[in-house]
Amino acid sequence: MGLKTTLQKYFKGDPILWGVIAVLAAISLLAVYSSTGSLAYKYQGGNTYYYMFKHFVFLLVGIGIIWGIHQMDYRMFAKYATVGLWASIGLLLITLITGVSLNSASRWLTVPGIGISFQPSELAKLALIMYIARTLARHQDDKAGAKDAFRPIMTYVGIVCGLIFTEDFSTAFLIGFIAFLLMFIGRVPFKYLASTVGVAVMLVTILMLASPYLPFLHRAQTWKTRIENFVGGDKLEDNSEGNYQSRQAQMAVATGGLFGKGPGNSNQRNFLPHPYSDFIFAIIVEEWGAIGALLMILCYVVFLFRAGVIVRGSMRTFPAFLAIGLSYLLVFQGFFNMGVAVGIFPVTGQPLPLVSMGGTSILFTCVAMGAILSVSRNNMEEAQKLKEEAGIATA
Amino acid sequence: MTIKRDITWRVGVIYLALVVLAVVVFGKVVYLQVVEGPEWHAMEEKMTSQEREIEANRGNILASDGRKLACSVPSYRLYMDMMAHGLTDEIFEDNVDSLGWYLSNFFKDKSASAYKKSLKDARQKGRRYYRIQRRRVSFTELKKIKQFPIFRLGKNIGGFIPEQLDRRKKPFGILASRTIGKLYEEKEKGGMVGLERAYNEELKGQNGVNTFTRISGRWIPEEIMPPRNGKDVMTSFDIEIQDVAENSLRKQLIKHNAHHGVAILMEVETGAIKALVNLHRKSEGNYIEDYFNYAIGEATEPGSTFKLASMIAALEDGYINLEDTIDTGKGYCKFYDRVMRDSHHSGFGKITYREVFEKSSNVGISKMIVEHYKSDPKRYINRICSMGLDKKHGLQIKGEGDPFIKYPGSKTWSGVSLPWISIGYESKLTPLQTLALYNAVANNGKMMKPYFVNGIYEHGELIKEYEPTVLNPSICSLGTIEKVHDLLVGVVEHGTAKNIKNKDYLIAGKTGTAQIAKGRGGYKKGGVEYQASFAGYFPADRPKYSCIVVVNGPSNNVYYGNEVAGTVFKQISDRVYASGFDMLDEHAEEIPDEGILPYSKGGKKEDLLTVFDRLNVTIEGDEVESDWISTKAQEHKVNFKRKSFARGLVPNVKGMGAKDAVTLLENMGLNVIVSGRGRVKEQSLTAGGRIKSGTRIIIKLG
Repeated sequence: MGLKTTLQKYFKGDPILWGVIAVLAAISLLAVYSSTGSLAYKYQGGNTYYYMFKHFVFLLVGIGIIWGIHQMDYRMFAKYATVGLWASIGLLLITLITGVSLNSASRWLTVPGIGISFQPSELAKLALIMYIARTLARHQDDKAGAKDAFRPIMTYVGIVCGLIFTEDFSTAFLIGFIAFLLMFIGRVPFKYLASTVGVAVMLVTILMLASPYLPFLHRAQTWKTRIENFVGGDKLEDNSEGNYQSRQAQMAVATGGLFGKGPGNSNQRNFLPHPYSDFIFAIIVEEWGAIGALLMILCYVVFLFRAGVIVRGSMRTFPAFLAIGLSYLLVFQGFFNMGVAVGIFPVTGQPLPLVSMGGTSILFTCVAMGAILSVSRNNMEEAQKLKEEAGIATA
Repeated sequence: MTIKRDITWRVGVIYLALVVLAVVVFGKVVYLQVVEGPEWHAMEEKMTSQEREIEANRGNILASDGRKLACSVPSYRLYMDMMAHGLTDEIFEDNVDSLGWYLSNFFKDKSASAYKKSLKDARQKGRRYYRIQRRRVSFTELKKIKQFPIFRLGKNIGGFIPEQLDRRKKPFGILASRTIGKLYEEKEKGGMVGLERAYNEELKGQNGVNTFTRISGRWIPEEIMPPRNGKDVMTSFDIEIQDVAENSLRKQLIKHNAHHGVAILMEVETGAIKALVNLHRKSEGNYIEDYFNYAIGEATEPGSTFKLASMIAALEDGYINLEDTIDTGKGYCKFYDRVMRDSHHSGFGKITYREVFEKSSNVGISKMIVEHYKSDPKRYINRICSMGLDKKHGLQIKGEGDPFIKYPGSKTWSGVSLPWISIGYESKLTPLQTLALYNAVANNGKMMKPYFVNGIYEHGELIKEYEPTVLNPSICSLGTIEKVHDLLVGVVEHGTAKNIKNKDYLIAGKTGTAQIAKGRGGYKKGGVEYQASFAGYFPADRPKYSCIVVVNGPSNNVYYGNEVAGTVFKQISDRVYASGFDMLDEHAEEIPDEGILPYSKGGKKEDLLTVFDRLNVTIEGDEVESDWISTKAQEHKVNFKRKSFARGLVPNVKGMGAKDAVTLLENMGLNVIVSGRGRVKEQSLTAGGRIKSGTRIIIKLG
């Protein structure tokens, strides 16, 4: 038995996806080590290995989760989707009321007893996509598309986004966007989709205008300035926080050059806030250059391509929607992050999936990865079975 | 299969959209790196490693006694970084009250609550460079402010940023300030004029470089090159004399409402400038020093002071004897179409050459020169040039005016050139150049190069010394020198400068009154302006200092050199004479032979004997056999008495000099600590007490 077969025996499903995960994890480890120097000096007395080690442990656990989940039957996700959704809605409510204010937005919930904080929105994202996938699959109709799926999906998307957006607009936007893409894939009629876009634009506009009068929208000012910075883009005069971050990130990218400054040689990590999460892409480009940027981008492009392959290989709609939905979630989140770093999107706090440091977020990402690979494994096994059956038949 | 096809193409569409997005993202990466790259690189350079100059302290300009004429005094602007790394809300809020109180209490310009409010405002706005106080503070003040709440936490936590600024100060105000010079507003350009400019290289020192590199979130400073402080420039200026010269010149300028004036005092033997004043009228009664360095920069027709050169020429060529006579007629004579007049309107008639010079007769001098040099004016001009009057001195500071001596055959040379040159017209000299000639006469014919700077010091150590330079070892024969010296003394004793004659010491000099063209219009268009001058040296019998005073444009009708310039000369020479210890010795060594002899300290017998012997003082009781003597001054003699000290008892050393007291006490086994200067006034152990060996005794002198 060769190495390949050994690996395939334990790591089932699409080997290319596994490869992408391995590459991202490796880059992540180096980038996190390099970008946590400042933090290490601030909180760990200069023990620069502290954060890398912690991150490494999370990555190991994450890969364990992927491995565990990809062995499961994906149908389980359909089964527990509604329960998970309800649970996450409950958690979001609790967060909103009691949430620990970290990072100037109350998005975090601390599990009593264990002391681990996590963002319920992470759970909500996964649960919602599973629910959408299931709902779309259920309502597939040859002729009418998934007309009936629209209402329940929109209800839950509305609830989840409504609970999240006051504290974390970008996540709410991401969820809405992915839901929209999924409905498009899932054959919800175009006129529904078009009117959804219309209503969403109107809602956001009204909210933005009314934000000064709505006390619970205390973050509206941040959004506004971030967007204004992005649109106005007067680089030198404005010294507001968002603009500063964006400039530092662009500086990191620009000074990286073709081959970068070399791993561990970033300068901008000292000036960027959260260089290990929100702006890790900038640090990677600074250290690894355009080559590094290309590698990262390719990882996500390949990832989505393989997700497409899974869709094509699926016999049923639910696994196809599940795999593609979760892939969209990871890949688009990744591109939002990269887009912010290079300055084509306004500043948001979206981490780079599997690369950014941030324990619980990695674990949820890994759940999604596991689910995708579970579908892939299932598809491959089914295909194998079909082949064998065909073989028997012809024999 | 419609469903699957539907789904597949939709997935394809979104995939393509993502690929487009990927291309855009990567495109932006390339755009940032290639198109905007240089800009970002430059910005990064600024942010990540900052090179900061460590400013070197500029050296001082010192007077000849080491007192500071110009020095740099650091002052500080106070800033605060409200967003300093470690300045948490907790630290800020807890201490802002007391910081406000301290600031208010220290500066006393705003209430504590006003300070608190502005600090809070600044913090709210996230100011990174908030100026706490408009006023600059001194180093000692800064030390106190650094101890204020919050500030005492340092730069990273407390956000306190004092910014050092050096200000050039002249402790003696305008004293010689033009020659000392000044700096450009922009510090890096250094000295603008005067010594500040001439010795900029020495004074400025070398800035050091510090780089700050950002390593793991901290700025790590690294001193790449330590700064080298500027060296000190010691000038030859004497603050006292400069002060006197400036005051008396100013008084005279105000009195005559003159346009500007110059006074220079030079040490005969060396050419060292002890004082140099340039005063310029700003408004009536208001004269400033730092307008223009007339003394070295303004070459004008010297007028009658130039007659000295003519006299030297004629004497050197052996054409005249001082006692020969010449007919000056009725005070005028004609050279071609121009009439030469004496200032004495009725004329002097037939007088000796000595009188010609002492009375400063224009007719006499010009007739004498024309008579002897008409056939070959070059001889006369060559004489003048051989004294070195046509050459620049090559001063240590910039801006020396060009001397101008007309040469026969040149375009402007005319028939009347020779007579007029001979009395100080049609030529140009700066006051300093004229002074150099008089100084040469005082120095037995040796012309010295005037200089202002004695040496360059680094950390109080002389690293470069400027030696006196001889410009011309002999401007003429010694015989001529003696004759003209005699003439110059005569001018003061019974000539045009009788007004400054005094019985204490002899002055040798020459008055000068020149009509000079005003502006560019020449004599006719611009009208004339008078220039009164006096150049000379003193004490004439043993010349120590030469001095020139030039008053330009005295408009209150009195314009004769003796009146206007001579007075200033006298005031300066009086002051120098009074303070000049080394010139007083002929008076001091005379021990008055009547009355009671001066008090003398008691001390060691042999020392006292040497002193009194030298002074020819009669001593009574010099046969006393004792190491220690007490003295008593009497008429005509000093009485020596044995001074005995009991063994083992503390002696009374009051009234003794420090050396004697220490010797005596140490010999008795005491441990002596001396403070003060002069004679012993107090002693810590009472006389007569028992001595324990090694006990400490403190003696206070005063």
